[in-house]
Amino acid sequence: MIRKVGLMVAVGIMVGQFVIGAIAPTDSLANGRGFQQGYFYNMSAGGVTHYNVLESGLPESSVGTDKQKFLEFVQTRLLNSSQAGPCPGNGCDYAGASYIIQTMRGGANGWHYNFPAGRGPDVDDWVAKVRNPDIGLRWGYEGGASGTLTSARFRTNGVRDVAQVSGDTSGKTLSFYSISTGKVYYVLRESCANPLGDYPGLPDPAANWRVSGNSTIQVGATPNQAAGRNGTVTAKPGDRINWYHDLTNNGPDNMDKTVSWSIDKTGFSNGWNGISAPAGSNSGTNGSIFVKVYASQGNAYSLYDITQDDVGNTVCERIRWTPQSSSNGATAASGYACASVPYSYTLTPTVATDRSGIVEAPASVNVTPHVTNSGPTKSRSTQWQLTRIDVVSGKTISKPSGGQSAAAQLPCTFFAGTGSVCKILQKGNSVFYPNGSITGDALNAAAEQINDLPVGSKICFAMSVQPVSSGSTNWSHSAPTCLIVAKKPKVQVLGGDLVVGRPTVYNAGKVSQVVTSASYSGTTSKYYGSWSEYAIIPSGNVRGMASGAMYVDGANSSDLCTLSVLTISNDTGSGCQASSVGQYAIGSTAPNIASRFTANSNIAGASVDLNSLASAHVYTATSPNLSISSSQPVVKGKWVVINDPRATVTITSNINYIPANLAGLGDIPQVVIIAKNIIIAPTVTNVDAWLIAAGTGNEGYINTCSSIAAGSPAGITSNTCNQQLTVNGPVLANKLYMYRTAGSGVGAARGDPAEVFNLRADSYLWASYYSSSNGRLPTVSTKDLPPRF
Amino acid sequence: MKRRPSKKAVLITSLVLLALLLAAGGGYYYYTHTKGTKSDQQSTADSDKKINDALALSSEIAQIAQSEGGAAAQKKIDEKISQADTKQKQAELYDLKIATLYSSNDPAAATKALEYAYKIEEIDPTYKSALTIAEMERDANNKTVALKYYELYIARSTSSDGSSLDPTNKAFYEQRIQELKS
Repeated sequence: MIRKVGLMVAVGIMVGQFVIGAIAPTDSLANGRGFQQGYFYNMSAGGVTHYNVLESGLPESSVGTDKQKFLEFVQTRLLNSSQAGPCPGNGCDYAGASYIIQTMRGGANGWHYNFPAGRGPDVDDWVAKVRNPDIGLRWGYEGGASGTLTSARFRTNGVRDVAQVSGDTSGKTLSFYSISTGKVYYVLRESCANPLGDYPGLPDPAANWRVSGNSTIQVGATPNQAAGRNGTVTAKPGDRINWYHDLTNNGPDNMDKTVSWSIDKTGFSNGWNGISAPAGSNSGTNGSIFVKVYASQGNAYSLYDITQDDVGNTVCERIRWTPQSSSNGATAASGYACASVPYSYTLTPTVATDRSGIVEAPASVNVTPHVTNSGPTKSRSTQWQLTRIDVVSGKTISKPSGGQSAAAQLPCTFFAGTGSVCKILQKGNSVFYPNGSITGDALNAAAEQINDLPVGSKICFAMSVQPVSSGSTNWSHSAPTCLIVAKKPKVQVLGGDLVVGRPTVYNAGKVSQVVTSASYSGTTSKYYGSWSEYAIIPSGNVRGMASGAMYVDGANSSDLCTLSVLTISNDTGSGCQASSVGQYAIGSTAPNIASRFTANSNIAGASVDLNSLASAHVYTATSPNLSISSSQPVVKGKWVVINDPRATVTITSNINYIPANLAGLGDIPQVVIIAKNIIIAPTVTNVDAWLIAAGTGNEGYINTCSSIAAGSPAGITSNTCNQQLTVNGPVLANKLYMYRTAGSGVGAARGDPAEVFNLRADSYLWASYYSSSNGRLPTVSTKDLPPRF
Repeated sequence: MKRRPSKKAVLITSLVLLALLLAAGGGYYYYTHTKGTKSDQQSTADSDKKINDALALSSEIAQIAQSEGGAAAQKKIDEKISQADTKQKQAELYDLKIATLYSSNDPAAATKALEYAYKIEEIDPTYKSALTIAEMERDANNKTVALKYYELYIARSTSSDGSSLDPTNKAFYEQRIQELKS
């Protein structure tokens, strides 16, 4: 029985609960209470009178859209009323103001069913939400969005409460909405201050914060953030760049969400452009630097070594982040921190040749251009030009020291001068690096040919670059390297042999070389050189000189083995070796000519005119230095001998035998000069005389040009001693200084001699006449010579 | 032989009946003080559905306005108007159009809203439609017209369905009439 009664009670309770749940279809209303249920006491508002939530409504004229006025309007009604107060009077608005405050706070953190104190956390929270910058106030007619769902104050069981009820939503409304999204959070009706509809209440105001970023840059091998600066610095290859990036929360609140950040890069030559690393998402408290990407941390992208590839660029980094603040979702970035790497260089062009100074044409020369970059950066793309300037003999090149010219003045214009011809050998565009490397057009050596050119012609080469430096657009031209076309004077021995190294009564025999040069003519394609008409009998080697007149019209070869047809050589049995032609010494002493002429007269003074000397006399000098001239040709039948081995004789004029018909040996004119040294003035072109230099040691020489000191030929040029000298008569000397520079012209004239020693038959005939007149003609030497055909 | 119940059984039965009476009384008290009367429950059932339908529609329109813009929302409401089977429903949808104009921050909201307000007045004239026109004309500084409709509002609210009109709410607008007349 007891069990039956208990079961009945339980069923009754269950039925009651079911009925209660079934009659509340709007229980899901936003304020957490059911439809028509009091907010604070959760009692029904059904069947009772409904009143304005605030007795006098919420006049637009009282609050407008001013948040502060709205807050004060509502809070004043809360402060000036009480639940127990009379209504009309100070009790009407207590529940309404409380309802507005608590439902505006929303239910995101749970609904607040308590009556708020006039001042305190509940009101503070409500004020903060109303003051949320994202919340806007708007007067309009938005009651239509609430259908008939409104609010009403009511009284039941002795308490006042507010419930959501069905009623009039027309008339003017004050809406609270999100400025950023447009979403409506709360609507109040003007005439009654009734909250309308099923709005959720105001959201929590978002934290208010703003992030600032900073990027600084510092140049130095060691990171030093204190030295970092914003903006752009200047750097050069080899410098290390250090970046420092950070993000700061400038508040005023702690960040309630993270910002995504990354590092932007521009201007790099190593592929960093477009790489946003490092990157991350972080947040920070108010005032904190919550992202630090510092070079001092060794981050790979915070350190960069400037290379030549960066020259001309500006490498930059900055930090970028999103959102830029709690109220702005856009992306922000710090200013770029940059390192400008400007061009900084100076180029110096030079040119070198594998031959220098004097060159006899034709010749080839390798010309090597070079450009030095003194750095510190590579050059811009630079145009360069290797130039050849040919300057005629007698003229000098313009701008011998090189220099600079304006960009419009090209190298050939810069070097232009009278009598010069300019030619571009090579040109191109290149980038020159301080370490000597080059990109672009390579600088190659140029092989240049110097054809037959007159002596004194100058062949110059210059290298030019433009722009010369990072700070100039000028051309820079090297000092030209010039080669001067010279010649190799020749000598010819005619009518007799050339014998060297043979002992004389004055000097012992010695090994003497015969050294002359050969020349090639590009015009005739032949070789030309010094030569002897007959034999060469050298005690030492022969270099260059042909015998048997092999060079008389030029030769196809300069090979001595083919040119030494009458050169007496000491054959070693290995056949002709061009390098060992000669080496045939004559051991017998040369005839003592001076002994054949005994002096019988003196020459007073230091100079004498042969014309003043008597015929058939042998003179001796009274002065150690005697100048001999000949104002008139030596007449028919006149012979004069000057025999003074102690004196140095200088021949100052031509000595010519008179060109006349001779009837007998006695008509042959003849001059014999026997002296310690014999010197010939540069103006003398013909000497018809025997020349016997009888000095010993360093003396006993014949100097063919008195302008040049014997044994010191350094001063010889093509402009000195440049008249051909012919000596007709026997010549014997300890040393023979042939300083004439005549001949050696262009083409076939390349073989023209500077000196000609011609032993004519008149010397033999006169000697025969003289000997016979003096009773005898002894044979002093006999030599078998090879036949010549 | 009829057996008489014992005193103990009678006592227990009496206590059970008392408990049932107390439970029924408590349940009735709870019922009446939390959910109103049974007649109230029945009368609010239709109202609940109407309210829920209206809130669902306004929520849908608000989402369209936020995602696609006010024009799309207005278009959607127009579709609903064309499907409405009563003038009252059409009037309510025009009311929603007015609300949507303002919630979309339409720059021509005031002009268009007044047009819709007159439309409502045309198809379903009530004290509400009169009030809306009165308020809007007052905003437009058309005092004479505003006064006319404020008075119409008062008249309608006292003659027809104005039973729900709060006396103090009525007083709010009577005050406004006096302001316009002065």
